[in-house]
Amino acid sequence: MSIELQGVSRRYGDTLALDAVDLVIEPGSFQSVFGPPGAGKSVLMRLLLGLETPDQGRILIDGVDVTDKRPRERDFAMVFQNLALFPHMSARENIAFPLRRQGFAERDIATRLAAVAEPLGIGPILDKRPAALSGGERQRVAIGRSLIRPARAHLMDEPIAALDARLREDMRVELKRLQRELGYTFIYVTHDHEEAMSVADSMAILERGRVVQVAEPDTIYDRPVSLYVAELVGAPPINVLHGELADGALAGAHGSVVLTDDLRESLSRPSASGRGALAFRPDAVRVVQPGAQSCAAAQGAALRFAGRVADVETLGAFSVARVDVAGTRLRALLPGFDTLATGSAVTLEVAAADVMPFAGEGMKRLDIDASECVGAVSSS
Amino acid sequence: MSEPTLSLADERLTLANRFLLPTQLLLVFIVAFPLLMQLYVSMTWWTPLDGESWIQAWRSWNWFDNFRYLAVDSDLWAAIWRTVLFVVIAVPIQFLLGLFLATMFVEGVRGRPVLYSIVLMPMMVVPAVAGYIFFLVFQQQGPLNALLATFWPEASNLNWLSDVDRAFVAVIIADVWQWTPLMFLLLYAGLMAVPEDQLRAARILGAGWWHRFRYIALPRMKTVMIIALALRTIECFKIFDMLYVMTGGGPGVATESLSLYLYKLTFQDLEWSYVAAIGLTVLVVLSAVAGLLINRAAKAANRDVVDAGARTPLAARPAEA
Amino acid sequence: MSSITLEGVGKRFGNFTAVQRMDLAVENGEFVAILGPSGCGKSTTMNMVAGLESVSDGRIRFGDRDVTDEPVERRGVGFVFQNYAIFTHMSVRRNLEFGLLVQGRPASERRRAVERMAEFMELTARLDQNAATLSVNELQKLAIGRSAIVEPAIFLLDEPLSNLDAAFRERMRSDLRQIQQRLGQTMLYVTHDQIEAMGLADRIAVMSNGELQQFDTPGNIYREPANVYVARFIGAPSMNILPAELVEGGRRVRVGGNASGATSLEVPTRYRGAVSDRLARGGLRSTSLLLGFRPEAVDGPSSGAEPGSDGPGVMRWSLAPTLIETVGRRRIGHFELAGTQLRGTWHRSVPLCAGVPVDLVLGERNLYLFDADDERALPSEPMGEPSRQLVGEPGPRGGITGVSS
Repeated sequence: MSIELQGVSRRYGDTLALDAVDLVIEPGSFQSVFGPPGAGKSVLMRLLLGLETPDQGRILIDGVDVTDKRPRERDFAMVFQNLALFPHMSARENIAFPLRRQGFAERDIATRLAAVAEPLGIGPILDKRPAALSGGERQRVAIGRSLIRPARAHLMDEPIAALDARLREDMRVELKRLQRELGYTFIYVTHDHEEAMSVADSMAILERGRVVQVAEPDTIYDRPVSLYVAELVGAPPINVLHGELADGALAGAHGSVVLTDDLRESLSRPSASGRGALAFRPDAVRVVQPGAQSCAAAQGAALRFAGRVADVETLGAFSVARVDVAGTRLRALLPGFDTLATGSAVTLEVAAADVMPFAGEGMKRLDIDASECVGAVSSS
Repeated sequence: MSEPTLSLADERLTLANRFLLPTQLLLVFIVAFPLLMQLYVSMTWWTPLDGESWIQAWRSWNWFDNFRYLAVDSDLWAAIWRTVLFVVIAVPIQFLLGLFLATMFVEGVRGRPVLYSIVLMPMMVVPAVAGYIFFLVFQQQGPLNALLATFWPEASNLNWLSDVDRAFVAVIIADVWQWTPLMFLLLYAGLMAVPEDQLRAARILGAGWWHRFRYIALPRMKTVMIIALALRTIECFKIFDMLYVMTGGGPGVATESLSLYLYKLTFQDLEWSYVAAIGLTVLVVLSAVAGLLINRAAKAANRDVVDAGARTPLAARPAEA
Repeated sequence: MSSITLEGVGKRFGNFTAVQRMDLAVENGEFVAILGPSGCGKSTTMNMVAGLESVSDGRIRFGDRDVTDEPVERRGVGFVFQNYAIFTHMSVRRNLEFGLLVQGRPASERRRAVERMAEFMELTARLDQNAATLSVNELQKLAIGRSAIVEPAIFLLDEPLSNLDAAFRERMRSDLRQIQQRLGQTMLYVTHDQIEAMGLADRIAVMSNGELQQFDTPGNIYREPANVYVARFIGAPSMNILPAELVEGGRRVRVGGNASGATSLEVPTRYRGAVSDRLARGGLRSTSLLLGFRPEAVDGPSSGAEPGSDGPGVMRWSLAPTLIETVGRRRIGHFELAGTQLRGTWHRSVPLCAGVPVDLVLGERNLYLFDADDERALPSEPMGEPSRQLVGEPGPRGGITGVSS
């Protein structure tokens, strides 16, 4: 039961909330929809669900056009951001509600309820009313209510956003397990990039109403199709050098960075002119202390900077060093605890393979083929 | 291809229209019809003394003579003047008292539930009954003078309702007593809408109740205050039952409000067409005033909305400028 | 600017104890984070320090001044709310000068102070704009500036970053750190996000269910957690905890009971004293333990043991992951051992496939022992290399704010 959006657009007054969105969601896959607030994620969900109709385009389920069908006819289950639990029923009754309405047998309901309640950790609170539950518990009950019945797809709009950080990490794994076990199709909206990446089979990235890349999380991380996508994922945020492209070099506040041959080749393409950027992730930055041997030659460092450590954030298993280099500040990820002294002089090196070049309008990636960026991804 | 069904949005609209239709019809009947009738009669010399039904009023058609007369009717203008004076004094007093009470309640005064009922009680009394109560209170031998006499012996000679000025004062007191609760309610609601966290932030910065009120609460209450003032001003302008019972417009015409004057014209002088003309004029003028005030309130509310828009969740805002 | 001292401070609401009596001493100019999940009592503690809540027990002192009974308006604390509580109907200038305005300072003095603070916070360009139009970064600075301008003794921040996306938080964290360093203000910071606490604080007070669990530097809390709760709360993913028992007369620790997959190793050197103590005192009960190790400690050669060594001080498993999470540069493998869920993190360059066994190797330095009854860490003797890394290459020591070696 694949779900497809073809050329779907929706406008509110002057704003184009969704712009010619094409998306294919494979059956049984965990599809995350990710983007900053205002990118159009919630609008996409509402259109999928049938609460609103698109101005243009079609929505297909298994090849059948359902664009004009009511929500009831589309058979999707949804977890809303504002929960919508029935206040006069206990948690157990809330969760069982969809099945009771469809006329399932009581024993069946009990089994399914147990199967869903355990991973969500709501067993002990099943007999309480929503008013007696904490925000996190209520959210989990709402998820249970959605998951208990088989549906064409389960749509979730930031279902665990209100939980504590620790609980969120546990919950997303449980959701993934449930999805696998039950074989459901999940369409999962979130603005948390870790959540979007960690358990999804496929990630769809939205930018101001357009789908800019659909791929496996690994691909999104390694081969983002534009600077926008590169900056959206990854913590700490990716390092970016902006500048003007000319003669195979990028000139900016950081001075002029001369590049190795591969990079220069990408940057010398006809499409590469004007504003450009080089991006590299903090964990790709090697910190070389004065006096230590640099492996640059051996590993082909494409970029090298001399700088001074401005700040080191120690976060347990790793530290983030912010280093001031010629006109800008770069972040380097370091394993371990005691690492660098603030104010010390260091050299930063980045291997050629880790540098991502972008240029032109929309800062498109220069070294990968544009046709790679949007496509259906099958679940593994 | 399935049958094109109405979208959810369209369905809702149709349903809404169906619900509204009966009310709309009723309104037309209740409001439009009498208004047209009044307009018709006002342009004639008709009175019931003519012996004919009002439908025949066209026989004494006079176009705008009634209106011309009302412009120069000194009795009318004196009544209007007195009413305006009354409104201009009574409404601000009730406003300030209501504001004071609302502030006290928000700051947390003891025994709130009981105090609440006591404060609201005057508003529950039928205006005519209130008028009668004050009629008794302001008697020369009445309780008020008795109370005043305990520390000011001359008070027992005070005559309230037979003195031209003091009767006016008495009537103002009665109106303030009865309607301060309404101001209190409206302003209390407005005060509750002031964001609690900003008040707390102000407190932590060292602001006492006066500063909190002046800088945080007051600016945010503009809409509510305009509405409260507009509401009471319009109602006060029409004051009738309390006055009728308390003073009957007396002594003489000292407390004859516009409504009382119209009452006399209608039931004593039977000048029904003239009254129709006056009624229409008052309606138009008051509507214009109300419209202006509500427009002002709407603009202030818009500013508050932009302000509320500024209260968008932080996550939805841009991170950098 | 002053120190904050809580002596036996507790709070009860009727029968419910929100905060159990605790002692806390914050130094002058220190940045202390109060860390814990919702409902642990951290906000209540903060509110008591601010004066928004009365104390049920104990005294609160700012420096030498006993402020326990002083009302909010007179305590002189700076407070930054979760949603900043900026006066949205006023200009930025007005917001900044508010504290001075209510003190009755003359206009010229206010003007000067406002201009100085605006420059400090980089808000000069926005001074005459309506405060509601500011971006989130600027709102945070305004909230701090507004409180700082009256030069309060201490600063309290109530989860000021919790409303934001993870993406913005990193930026705001560094701004916050810089501001605190420049102001030199004593700050108390409430949060449920342990990364925030670790990144910002000089010391962290971990709370749970109204009780203070541990109060120490981030480094010490990470390396030597006082109990299972703290061990699991700090570090993401949280520490793996397995039931374990002492065998062979207390010389070895066994994990996994009698099932297949059970392993045993020598009791880590630093716990030997405590273990023999315990055995000497108690009977069978004292042999029930909990063994803990952090997920990031399983990563290959940096675990403190040579790969391939089967020495007695090394815990080694070969397990197949049931589920794999890939979060950016990390791969998190989920395993099951003797009925317990375990997690390990690797760099994404390490190939990890569901169902394909992988080696988890742990040196004794990365293993923790806790008493299974009260869940407190067994007392450990300091070892020879106090600043030895748990993971990753060793680096030069010292000189970093907030981390003691």
